[in-house]
Amino acid sequence: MSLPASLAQIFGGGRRSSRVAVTAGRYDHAEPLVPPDLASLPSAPDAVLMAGTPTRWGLQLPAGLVVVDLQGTHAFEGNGRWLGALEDDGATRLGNRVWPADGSERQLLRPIGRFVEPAVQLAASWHDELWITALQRTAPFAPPQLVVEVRANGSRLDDEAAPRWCFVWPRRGTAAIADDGTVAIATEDHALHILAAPTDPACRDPEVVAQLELPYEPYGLSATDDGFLVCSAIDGDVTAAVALRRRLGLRPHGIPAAWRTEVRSLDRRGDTRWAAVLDMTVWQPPIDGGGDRVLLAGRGLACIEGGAVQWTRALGSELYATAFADGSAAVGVGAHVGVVDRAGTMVQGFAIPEVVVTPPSIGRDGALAVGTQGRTYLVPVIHD
Amino acid sequence: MSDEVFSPFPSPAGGKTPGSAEVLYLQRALFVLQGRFFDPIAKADKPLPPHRFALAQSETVFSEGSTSDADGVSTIFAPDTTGVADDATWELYLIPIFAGRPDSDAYATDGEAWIDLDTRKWVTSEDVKQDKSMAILTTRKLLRIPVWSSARKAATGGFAATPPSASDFGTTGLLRTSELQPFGNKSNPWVVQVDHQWLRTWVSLRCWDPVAKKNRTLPPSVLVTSTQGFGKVVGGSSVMLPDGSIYLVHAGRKEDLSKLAYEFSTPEVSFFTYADGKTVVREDKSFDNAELATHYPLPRAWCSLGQRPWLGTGEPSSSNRKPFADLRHDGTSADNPLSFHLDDLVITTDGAQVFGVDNDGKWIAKSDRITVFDSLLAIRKQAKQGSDPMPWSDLPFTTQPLAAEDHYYVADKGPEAITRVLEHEGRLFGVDRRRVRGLPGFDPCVGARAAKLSRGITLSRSELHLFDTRWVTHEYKGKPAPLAHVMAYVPTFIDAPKADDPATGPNLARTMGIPRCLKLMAAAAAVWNQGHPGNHAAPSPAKRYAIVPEGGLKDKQAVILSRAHFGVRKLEDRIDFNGNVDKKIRILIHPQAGRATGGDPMHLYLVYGDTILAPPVPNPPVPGKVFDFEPAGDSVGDRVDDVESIPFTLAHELGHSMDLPDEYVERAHPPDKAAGSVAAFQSWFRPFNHDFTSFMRGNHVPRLRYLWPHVMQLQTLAVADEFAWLKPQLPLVVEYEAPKAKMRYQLPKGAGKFADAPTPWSMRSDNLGLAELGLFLAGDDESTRGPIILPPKKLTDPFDGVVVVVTKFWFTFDDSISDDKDRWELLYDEFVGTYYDREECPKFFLQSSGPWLTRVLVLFQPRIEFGPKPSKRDDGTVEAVASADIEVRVRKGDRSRTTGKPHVLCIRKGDMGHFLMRYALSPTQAVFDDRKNKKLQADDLAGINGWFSNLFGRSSKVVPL
Repeated sequence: MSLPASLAQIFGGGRRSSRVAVTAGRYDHAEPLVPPDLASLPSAPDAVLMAGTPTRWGLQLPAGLVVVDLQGTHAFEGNGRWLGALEDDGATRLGNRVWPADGSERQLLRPIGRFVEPAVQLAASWHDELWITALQRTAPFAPPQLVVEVRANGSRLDDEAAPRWCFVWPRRGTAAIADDGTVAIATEDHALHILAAPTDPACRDPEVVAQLELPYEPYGLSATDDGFLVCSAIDGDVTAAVALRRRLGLRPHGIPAAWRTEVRSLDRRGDTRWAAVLDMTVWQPPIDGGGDRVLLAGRGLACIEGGAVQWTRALGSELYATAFADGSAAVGVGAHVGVVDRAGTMVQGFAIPEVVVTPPSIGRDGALAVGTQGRTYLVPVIHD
Repeated sequence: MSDEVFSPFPSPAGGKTPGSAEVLYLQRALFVLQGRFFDPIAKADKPLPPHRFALAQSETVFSEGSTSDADGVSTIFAPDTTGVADDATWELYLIPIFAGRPDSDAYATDGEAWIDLDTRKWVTSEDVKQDKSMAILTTRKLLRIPVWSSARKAATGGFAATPPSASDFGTTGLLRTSELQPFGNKSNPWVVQVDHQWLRTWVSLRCWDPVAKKNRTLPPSVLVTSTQGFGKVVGGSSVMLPDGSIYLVHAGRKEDLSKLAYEFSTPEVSFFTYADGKTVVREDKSFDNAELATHYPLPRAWCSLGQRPWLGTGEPSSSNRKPFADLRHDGTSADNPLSFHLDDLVITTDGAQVFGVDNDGKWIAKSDRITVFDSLLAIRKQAKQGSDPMPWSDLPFTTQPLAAEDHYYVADKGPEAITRVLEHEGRLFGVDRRRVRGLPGFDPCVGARAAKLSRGITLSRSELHLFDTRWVTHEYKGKPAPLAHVMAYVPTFIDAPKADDPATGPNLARTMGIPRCLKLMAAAAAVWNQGHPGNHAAPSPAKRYAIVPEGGLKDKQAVILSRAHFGVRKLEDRIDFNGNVDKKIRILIHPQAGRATGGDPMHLYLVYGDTILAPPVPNPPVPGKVFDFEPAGDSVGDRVDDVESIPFTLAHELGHSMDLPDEYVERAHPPDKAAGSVAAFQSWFRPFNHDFTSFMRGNHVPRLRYLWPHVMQLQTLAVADEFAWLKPQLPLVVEYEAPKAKMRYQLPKGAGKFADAPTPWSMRSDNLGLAELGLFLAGDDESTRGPIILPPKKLTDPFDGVVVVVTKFWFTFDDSISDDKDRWELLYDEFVGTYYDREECPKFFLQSSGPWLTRVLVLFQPRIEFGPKPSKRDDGTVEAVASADIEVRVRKGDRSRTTGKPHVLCIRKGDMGHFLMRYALSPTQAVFDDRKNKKLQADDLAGINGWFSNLFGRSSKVVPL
């Protein structure tokens, strides 16, 4: 099976909309993951990161990244909320910092300035010599700006002629990066932009492939093989709901607000292929289930295929999901981890002592990992 | 002869001669009378204690009767009427017989006597008084009988019986000489009911018992008097019935007592204990507020005028409360007493004047908004708009006194729910054991609990108040400790200036901005008050700061918790306080784009813009869903304690309102679309600039150091008698026991080169080369445990000082780099950005011997101006190169160096790097020629170390982190 590299989704973060290039294995229990140095881990991660090797995993946290390997636990912090990643070569990435596995001096990816100011990294990707990042600027006494930066990976003095562009939209929103480097941003003003590299390499502004006005407030965005998926709240105030919860110092989990969700599929030119309405509050960005299949996770789980709602499993509590290559899904719901098949049936399920608060992370062998308020749990694959 | 009661002779029909003997009396008996009164305990009319009646025509012509027997029966003999005109008038007088006293003169002198219902004896006022005062506590059951004569009585209800021969005695109380005919005998005496038709009332004095968590009546203790107008006593009683009500009989009928009022007074510092109800007078006049946990202090003086009683023995409520004037004559049956609550509250500026009421009793308060804080300083019955809590109570202020059940106690709750503070229109009013002062019978609400204007300490923009609540215990470090609060109070008025109104359409700052800002005031307080027990919206985990003695909290010492309150008043002017009216703090919300600024007034904008004090524009921009001053962005966890937060501009600006300074550098503006935040020339020294989560830096969470000014102010307050309890706790420190670090914040007193009371922002400055060095004292808080300089690491040993190194660089470019963004990125990526990146910046500290400044962090904070686009100063002028220490010209061609003001360094673009900072520290040709661009090393700080060493006369060394 071949999946686009961007769908490997090595980046963590609660916004991820991952599909992985493996299928579900056979499981028979869940067990806590304990660091070798028995260090206490920060509570309530945004996501669990699984590296290529089972001896290395990490927690994406609001303040940074904690990585656990055979040597113990290692903390990394950024000046904001940066996406972390565990790369196959053993390197650790957080924001624009890369710590090589051999312990040599860390590398900085430009633009440095974006990563010195407090900001929230919404999406990141790198392609050959380029790296793309979308972030929400949150520095105090600065306007809200959604910024997309595309830069070369080389040193500053060398890259003056390298292709690079920047796009700034003065609103809050979300972003997704497609495999070909096309970037979509959707903002609170109902605007959706699809941005591509300019045809003139000397140009610093992107080609605006599409600029749409969406009917509802978009909050979840993800890239697929050939387009983008958008979740919008039909009759709920997303911003106010989130602000309410955060004002109380709480994570988004358990936000009391509810809304119906519009799911919209766009091609790379921004043309709508289909739009469907779910009578369910969706929290995660749309999850690419392969082909024209989309999984939606929030207060339950739903499946849309070709614009038609195939099934809905509404629940009272939050459900988190990650898609397998075949369109089935690993789910965490309440104090359970399991696998839901393409028909929406929970075919395997395991109880854990605490409530799941992250989307499941899926290892190369199909092992599942979820974070709870206090621990990380692994559901290993049983090999016959 | 044992029979002292005499009968007329010859015996009237039906009469009986004593001992069946024929007795010849020397005087002719005229009246046989029985003196009676209503006994509230027996609930029946009973004989008066021993007494006599006298019949008097003048001072010399009279007849005093015999002393009454156990049935209250006595005889008046016929007086000698020789020479007395037939139409002369005679008046009947009551004469109490005081046991052990030779005469009854006290009755006439005092105008009253008292019946002790337990002993059935008369008691003089002198015997009732304690220290010649009626401010007494007594457990005796005393009932006042005023000076009684038939003429007086006739005017106040008349008589139960009158002699048949007396034609108008019933209306005048007078007998003519011709009417002196025998009347009554022992078996059928003339009944003289001294209180006939007098108003009888039962009064219940209620108070809240926070131990039992219910209302109760006062224990037998006070003697209540009733008055008809100021000073004219018409009744008095300490006769408490089993249900706690006090019976009074007033010398008059209802219609005679149009100004009836009740009063009582007690000796100074008297109270009862909740546990046993025993009343005590503290002879040494001492009373510690901590005793309020177990004691109820009695009002020194109390009066019913202006109060709001209710009828019956039930609980008070808004539906049964009425003005006393409406119930003045009610409570006329034992099972339906007139009930008063001694914990009703009155807002008063001076302790005597009832606020909001004019001299005619007319309600004149212009605002109905009050905030009621309980003893945990939680807002009682917090108002809400939708689901958002407002910073005031849903208890309209429309009358005084404020009902205890709504404003003082909470049913079924203990002392923590008792009201401690009220806020009204920009002022705080403290509630403890103080009562409204005034003249009983003249001034309203005397004796009600006084919510008295709290003066606190007036700071530049805020007020600091110490509220003693040591009657409440707070679990601190696993042990209960008495609680006190220090409140940073910011009174505000939120407005949208009319000058901002757009050419067309509504001013969104007014229609949307003000309501949104109102909703956020309580939320802003919640993030400042995270660990305070009065904050019900605290995040979890939360920062739990405490102010404690330096030596640790000892038994019975108070833990002092800090609370911020951002009050919002309805009226622009704060209420008058000693003739002072002001408008602070005005929060002005603008529709045009602008940059929020604290101060007075505070300016908030719906839309962010770079301009400070942005002027009105005809067509303001359409704001986003989240206004600039609202919480926005993703949450960040504080590494020391995992406390989560999101940036909140309004809360930051309110930090300024609490007199806290900015902690971020003032930024130079990069060209369009370029990024990077570095200090501009007009920036100030900012030792905490790297700690993005600090409220005054990055708008996220409080820091321990923000409470240090409170500590210094508390040390000042401790000299006041009111806060004598605090004195033994000095000196104070601020403490925070986070799960991962235990911190105690304190700045040294008398540290060399600093004033006696340094703040975390007090700076001592010097020059070194082309750099200015700003030295700060630092304490142990979340910042100095790591975030002040280190990315993820936490320090076991905090820094106790910071030296900020500042040089002003001015950059210009020739066309070797043509694009402004590239120019900016060159100077940013290769040089100055490093110093503002907490991960990349130089990390060294100076280590030396103590006792203070033993670990002094060295923080490089170069200021720059981007020559192609220099910054605008706050005053609107543009920065000039003349302000620079070093001008850096990036250009092709030869490199050169020119000294002067400023030094001018011409370099090529590939030269850009850290040699510039080395040059600032040591501005020599050799350093310029060397152009060493590696990151700074310890050797580069030798000059700074030497400066420090010389300054304090101690050895020190540079230590890399």
